[in-house]
Amino acid sequence: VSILSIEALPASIGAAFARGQLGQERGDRPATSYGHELFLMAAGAVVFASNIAPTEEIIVLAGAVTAAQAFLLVVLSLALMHVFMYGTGFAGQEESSSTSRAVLTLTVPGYVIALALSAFLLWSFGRYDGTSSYFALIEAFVLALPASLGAAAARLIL
Amino acid sequence: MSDDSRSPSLETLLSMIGALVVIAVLAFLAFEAFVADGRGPQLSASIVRTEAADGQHVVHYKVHNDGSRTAEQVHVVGELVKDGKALEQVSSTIAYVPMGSSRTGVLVFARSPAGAQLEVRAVSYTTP
Repeated sequence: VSILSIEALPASIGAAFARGQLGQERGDRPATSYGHELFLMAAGAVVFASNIAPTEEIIVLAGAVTAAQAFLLVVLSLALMHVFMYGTGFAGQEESSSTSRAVLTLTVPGYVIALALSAFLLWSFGRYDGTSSYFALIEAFVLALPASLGAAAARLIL
Repeated sequence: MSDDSRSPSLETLLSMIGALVVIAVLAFLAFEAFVADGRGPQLSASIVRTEAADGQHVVHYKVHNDGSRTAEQVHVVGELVKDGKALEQVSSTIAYVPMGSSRTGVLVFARSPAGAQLEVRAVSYTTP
């Protein structure tokens, strides 16, 4: 039962993705609110992160990453996320009034949401048992890279 | 979508919180990078408890890594010593012991540790 309920998490959000992509009522959907956009980013982050969080790779990568590399990892996550949402010419993209405003209102809160969800998923998969808080943070930064990309993708697609 | 449909105060609030978190995270990592001492893994093994089950003797041990690097493939050896002679040797391997963290494992002995000296050591590891 516990395995089923864990597997149901990405599956249910995947079903929501499919509905958003293939559903009929797409045309008359109301304009998305700010809270709704952040919620979509959270959903995208969960889809990507929940598939990676239970794997060994997070520990391997976190073990090999130094603090300076983790610093670059955070900057890279933010940059990729922003480029993904505003730099590419995808359909869900939004014309932004100013770049700095877009970074502050969507990219930065989106990354923090992805980081928090990464930490939560790692914790719920038992990755934090007997682990120091510093290493737990590094693990969260490693997982936040795919999670933030998932968040950016969800913002575009849904 | 027009800007009117958004709530500017909520946006501002979340932007502020988000910016604070990101700045705090980057400052923390920059500080850690500055003070990093580059010490390798420092492993210490200890016995948590011993119990008898189905004629076997189960020894739960804990390995703690005090260093600032992760140790991989940590090889733990448990030895029963009596009167300077090794009665039995059992070993196990832990995949990862991250920096500042503990991992637990179990050694199963055929002989009882009672009356003998039980030693548990982390004898080898690899670094990532």
